[in-house]
Amino acid sequence: MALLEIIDLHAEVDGTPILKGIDLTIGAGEVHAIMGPNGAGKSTLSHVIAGRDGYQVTGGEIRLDGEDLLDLEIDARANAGVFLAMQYPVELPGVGGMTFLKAAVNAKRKYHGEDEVDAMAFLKLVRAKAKILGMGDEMLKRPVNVGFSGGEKKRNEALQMLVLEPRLAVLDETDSGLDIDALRIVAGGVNALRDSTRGILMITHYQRLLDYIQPDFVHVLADGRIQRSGGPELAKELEANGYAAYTDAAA
Amino acid sequence: MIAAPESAARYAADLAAALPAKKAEYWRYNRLAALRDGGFQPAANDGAAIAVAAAEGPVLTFVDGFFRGDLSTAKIAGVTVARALPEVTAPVRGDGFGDLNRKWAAPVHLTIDPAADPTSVVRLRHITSAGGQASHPRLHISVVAGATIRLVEEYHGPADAYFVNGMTTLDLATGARLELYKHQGEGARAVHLTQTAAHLGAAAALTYFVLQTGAAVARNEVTVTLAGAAAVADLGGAYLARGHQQLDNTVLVDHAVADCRSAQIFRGVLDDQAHGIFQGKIAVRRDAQRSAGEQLSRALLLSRRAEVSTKPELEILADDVQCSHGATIGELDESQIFYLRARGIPLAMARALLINAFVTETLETIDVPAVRDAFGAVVGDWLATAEGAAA
Repeated sequence: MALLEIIDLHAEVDGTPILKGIDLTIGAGEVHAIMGPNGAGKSTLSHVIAGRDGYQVTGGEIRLDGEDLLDLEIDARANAGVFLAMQYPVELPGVGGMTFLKAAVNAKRKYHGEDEVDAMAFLKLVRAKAKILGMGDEMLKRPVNVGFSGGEKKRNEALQMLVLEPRLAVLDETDSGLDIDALRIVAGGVNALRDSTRGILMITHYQRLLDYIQPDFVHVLADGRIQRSGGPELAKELEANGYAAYTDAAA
Repeated sequence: MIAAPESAARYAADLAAALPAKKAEYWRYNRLAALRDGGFQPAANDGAAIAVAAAEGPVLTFVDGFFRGDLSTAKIAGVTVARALPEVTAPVRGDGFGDLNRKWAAPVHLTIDPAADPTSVVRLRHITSAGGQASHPRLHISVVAGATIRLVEEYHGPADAYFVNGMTTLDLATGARLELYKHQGEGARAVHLTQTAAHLGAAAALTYFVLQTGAAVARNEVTVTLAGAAAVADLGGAYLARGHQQLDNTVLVDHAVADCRSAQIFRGVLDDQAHGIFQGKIAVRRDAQRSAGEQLSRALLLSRRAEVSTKPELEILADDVQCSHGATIGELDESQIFYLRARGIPLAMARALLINAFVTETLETIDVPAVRDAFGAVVGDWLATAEGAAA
């Protein structure tokens, strides 16, 4: 069984069709990249997978390990194993970083019928994961994302991902707003998660991220559909020629 | 216990006379019908046995407005308890409830001298023993030159309706420091009206924080006169209301002389059909140059039918001042809720986390960890009661 199956997915925002029949299958251990021009529907796809309000699914299916995700609430999808690393991580004034991580981990454990995490063991685990991303205790204690730079926010997303250990990580324009050093650190975090049991879906406009996180498959999304799929070489081709061929074809 | 019948009749007349006129500007929002119709009778000082929780650390207990030596710590270093008031310099607002308190209170005067332990916390515990009663706590606290003290003021009572009409006056001499943390945790049908008035001498510092969660109708009024150069008043508060509760914070800071600083920072959370009120005024007199005054009111509405009334006022007669005020009213942020839920946190818990965060930011201004934790626990308990359950 595939890890993620998206079958003929249609979605609209305020009555405007954005996704017009997406088909995508991700197997365990695979890293996929979806690339495409602005307005292709990339961020809509990521938000539809996460279940955000304001995106109406008008047809099709999304299955994670065979389970219909569209039937699940936002938090249940997360607990079932979906993690959306956001393009614009939200600031949470007054919510301490550790409090937030612990609440998320305990929610997941409760969802799966497990006991709450041991506080000391949890602190140790988080510190170990934070070290991979060069984050110290001071950053963990601060309110979530408050006063963080763009790079720090993306590192914090990567930390949450490493702590929550999702089945499927969806990275929505994770490279946007990152300088090359921050990109390298965040990519290191993503690569640390990569193993034979998980899937990763990277959504990006630029090829740059793929230099640090090598995809197994690359897809071109334009006008709400996947126009073409291939291996890593497809990304190089897009870098050289741009998206004009796809936007023209779609128009 | 309730007082004798003849005093009950006299009290009814005094209470009727105390009620503000319909158009009284500073009472226009307050819902006082319960005082007109409640049939409250004055409490008697009968010294009856009452069950109180064993206290950790020094405590002074007031039952039905009367000081109870038998329920208080016998000797607290640097704290003297007396039954007669000195001349009060604090800016007590002349109004009906002030008069009512003066007529019916049994005043207590605390003098704080430099022998007081500046790191310990003295609790002032106010308990109403039974429903139907009206009580009139009256406390004057003199902090002498160079003395420092931390006080926690708590109000509790039964579930039946009762009335607390309290007055606390504070006199901070030169260089005196007072931290006063109040929890208004009255019973659900209580009416709680209190006035705290402070007079600050040169280089005196008052830190005041009030957490209001109790009572059906409450008004916590704080009036401060900065009367000596370099006096500082940091006033803050948080209020959490649900059901039909009405919680009011009315604050007036008077910059009477130059070179003083003040702040009024209040946050409210209002659910169901609750009503929050913030009336805050900064007055700067003509000669009070280089005054700095800050005022900020923020309210979080959790329900379409919750309401907040905000009345900020600046009255500035000096020309070289730094004063600011702001008021915001908002709802929980949808993008923050999505972010929490996208990390697996269920909707109800996501809301509770954000509400708690909103309030916790104000509690973080409390310097005493034990008080901050205790108040944080009150907020946690409030949130643990399912939203809307108390309607």
